[in-house]
Amino acid sequence: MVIRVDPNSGIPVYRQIVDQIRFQVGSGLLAPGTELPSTRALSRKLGVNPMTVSKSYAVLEDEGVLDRRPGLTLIVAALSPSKREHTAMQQLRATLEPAATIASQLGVPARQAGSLFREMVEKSDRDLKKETA
Amino acid sequence: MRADPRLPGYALSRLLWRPAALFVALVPLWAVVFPTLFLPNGPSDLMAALHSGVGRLEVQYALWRESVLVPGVLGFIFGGITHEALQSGVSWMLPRYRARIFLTTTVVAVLCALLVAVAAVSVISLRAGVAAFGLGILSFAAGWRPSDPVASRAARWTGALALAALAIRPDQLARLAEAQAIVLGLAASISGAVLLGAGMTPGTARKRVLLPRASGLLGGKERMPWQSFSHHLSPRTLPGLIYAGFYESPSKNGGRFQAITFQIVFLSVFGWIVRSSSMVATLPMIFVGFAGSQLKDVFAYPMSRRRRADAFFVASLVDAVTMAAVTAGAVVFLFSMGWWRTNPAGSTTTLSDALIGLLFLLLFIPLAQAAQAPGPLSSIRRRKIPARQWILCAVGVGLWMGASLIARFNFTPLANGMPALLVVAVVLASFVVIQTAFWASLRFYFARRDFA
Amino acid sequence: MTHPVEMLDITKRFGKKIALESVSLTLPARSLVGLVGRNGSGKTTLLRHVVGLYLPTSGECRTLGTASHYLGPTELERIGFSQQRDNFLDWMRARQLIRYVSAFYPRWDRDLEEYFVGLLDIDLEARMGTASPGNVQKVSFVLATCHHPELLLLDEPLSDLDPIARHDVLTILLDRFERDDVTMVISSHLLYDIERIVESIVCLEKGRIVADATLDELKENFAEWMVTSREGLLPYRYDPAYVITSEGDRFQARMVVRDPESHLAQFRSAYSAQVESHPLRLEAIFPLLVGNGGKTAAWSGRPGSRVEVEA
Repeated sequence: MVIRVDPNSGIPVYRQIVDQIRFQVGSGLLAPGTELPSTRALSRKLGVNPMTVSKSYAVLEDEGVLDRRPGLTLIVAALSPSKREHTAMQQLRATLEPAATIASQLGVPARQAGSLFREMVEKSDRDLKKETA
Repeated sequence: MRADPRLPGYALSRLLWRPAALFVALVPLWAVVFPTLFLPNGPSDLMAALHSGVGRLEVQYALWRESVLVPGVLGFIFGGITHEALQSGVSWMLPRYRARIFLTTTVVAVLCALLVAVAAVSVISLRAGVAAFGLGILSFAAGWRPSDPVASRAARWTGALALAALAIRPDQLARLAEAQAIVLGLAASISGAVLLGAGMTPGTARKRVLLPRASGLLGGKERMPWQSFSHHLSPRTLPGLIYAGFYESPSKNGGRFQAITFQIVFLSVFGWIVRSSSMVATLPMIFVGFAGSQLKDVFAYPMSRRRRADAFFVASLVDAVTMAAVTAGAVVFLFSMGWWRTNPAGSTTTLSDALIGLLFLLLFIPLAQAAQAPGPLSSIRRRKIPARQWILCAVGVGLWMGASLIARFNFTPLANGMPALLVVAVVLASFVVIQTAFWASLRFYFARRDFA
Repeated sequence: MTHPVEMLDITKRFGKKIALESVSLTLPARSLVGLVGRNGSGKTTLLRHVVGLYLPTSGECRTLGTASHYLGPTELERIGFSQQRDNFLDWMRARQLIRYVSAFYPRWDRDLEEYFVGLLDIDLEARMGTASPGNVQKVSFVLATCHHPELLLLDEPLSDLDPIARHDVLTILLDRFERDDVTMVISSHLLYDIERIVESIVCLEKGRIVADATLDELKENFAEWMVTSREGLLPYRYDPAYVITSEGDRFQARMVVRDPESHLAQFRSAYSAQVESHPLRLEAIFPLLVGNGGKTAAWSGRPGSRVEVEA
């Protein structure tokens, strides 16, 4: 698992870790059942306070993204398809909010903005298929 | 610090404000106290001489020497401090700084010399005052140019020659000086002024090297790492703490013991030359009064406040007793070898007189040592010692000297009327009482103070 | 269980000057606290109270369960203190100083000392009087940490270090925090650096505590808003209850707000405006805490726009 945090950005570090793990789980980079590094190991790797890491793990456990096994490190939970879709849409919404604001500020009508977005997603899907082919 | 063109040398005066103030505060004290130290019988000599004409010449002679010694030493020191202020980074940066300091340095030198000259005039005579003034200027100039190899060599040779002359033919020298005091004073003033002036030309100025921050008159050269701290005596025990205090206070010449030995030997020789061996009995104790082997607040020692107080007390006691013992031994030795010299028209000092003087210094030394409780005065720290601390110590030493002189003055008539054993008992009891009071006050103070 | 540091309503006066005023602070064990504040705000004074060098004029200060008047070797041997201006003796070499100080602590760890000296590249032969400030600061750090203290107080431990040494010290601190059961208090101006490792912040201003919260709480409590209203409905003045500073005109504005989450929706609907909310880093939050809000250069307006300053 590769994570990058910027302790000096205004975003709390725990939130950065949570967002990145959530994304990696949602995009399949972290498959269900994958073991996560221990609090100590991850904090040492990132150079941050171990309390911060345990806070992120706690939040993700609450959300159901991670599962706790007694005496062992956390693992990625297996998400039901509907849960998976819900999480994905949630993350996408967060990413799209600023885009939506810009679109309306620039005066682009919603329909045009929507079809532009569809065009971009379809292109990205095609590129992804080409890579994996 | 805007350079005001109407006041050349303004910059230097601002820099020198602090050391100047301290020395002005201390110089009158020393000019008055110092001469009495070297009189064989302390103030009683001075009083007697002033009231009657008998023995006036001997007193004059002793005091005349002090109008040589005091301006010489002080002028040299003050010149050195003035010079040091010039060597800070600031002096290189300010435009036309060096040009502006000429007048101020001259004023400072004249004031310094005048101060001691006035003291000499009031105690002795106008002619002695003139000589003192000239000598003050000359020694200021000598102190002012320590890093100029020519000047400093000249100063050293002159000093050595003068000492030799004083040792070999003191009487002739004294008569010559007293006869031609004014001429000598003028000659000294002129040579001093020439030296000072020569030191202010830009060419000479640039030859000087900026001294690194750790050096300087009070900082001293780099110390010798005379030993590593041994773990045999753990600083968690009281003896170990005393040892730690000793370790923290090395001197330029090695450890504490080497320093004490060096002091005693040097003062014995110097005292023999200038015919006032009584400085062997007094000066080492003064050094203890100003700087002891107490702990120096190097870090936040893991000790309770009571323990700090106890350590301070025991270190002070050990300092005072060891120095007194060593000094007493030296005094006895010098007497037994016949090397104890006082002023030449011979009022002799008896051994018991010198030792009694020493005893009272030992008895009352807590007065001076207590002034060090707020913090060590020895200058091995980089930080500036607050003026208040200096003055407190000067006052402490002054009280101490005063108390011991008064006690000594009154002691002999009283002691003559009492059985010896009783006298000894009273002295011992006083010692115990004073030390106990010292300890109690230290406990009280350390329980409440803020450590630096 | 007693907390390692308990300060109750402490006031400290030096003559007429009030260095600390009604300071109450409790630090839980195993916390990593950043102590921040402007110069002269009382950080050093506070730390010296904790270690017993200063005694409060009024109030009570307890460290490791003992009042500061009565701190003795049992407590002080478990505390490490690195001062901003140490009193190291000029003549001592670093090697001698470390040997000397280590003799006072029974739990001194020679191996750890050697490790730190190697890692931080300390010049052991340099004399304290002439050593570079960076070397002195590294030595001071070693002296404070090698006896495995339970409570570690560091007053400006990073200010003289080069960036690599700073990184090394921060890594060491995190490592120590993990391995030993340490409570750490780091006072520093280098907010950028300590932000990386501390979990809570105590901020002093003129001897009073103006903030005592976790870093995350602080970051979530402030935000910078970029506001746009295409109809030009933005007002001249904003509600000072949550808007700290603002600048702009009726079409566009930039403002710093307190508690953004609870006010965002209401603001949007009230002015039909679009709001982009950005978080602030600690260096930007700091002036807000010490009441310097509108006076910092970052919030100076462009010529022609109005600049609002909230006290």
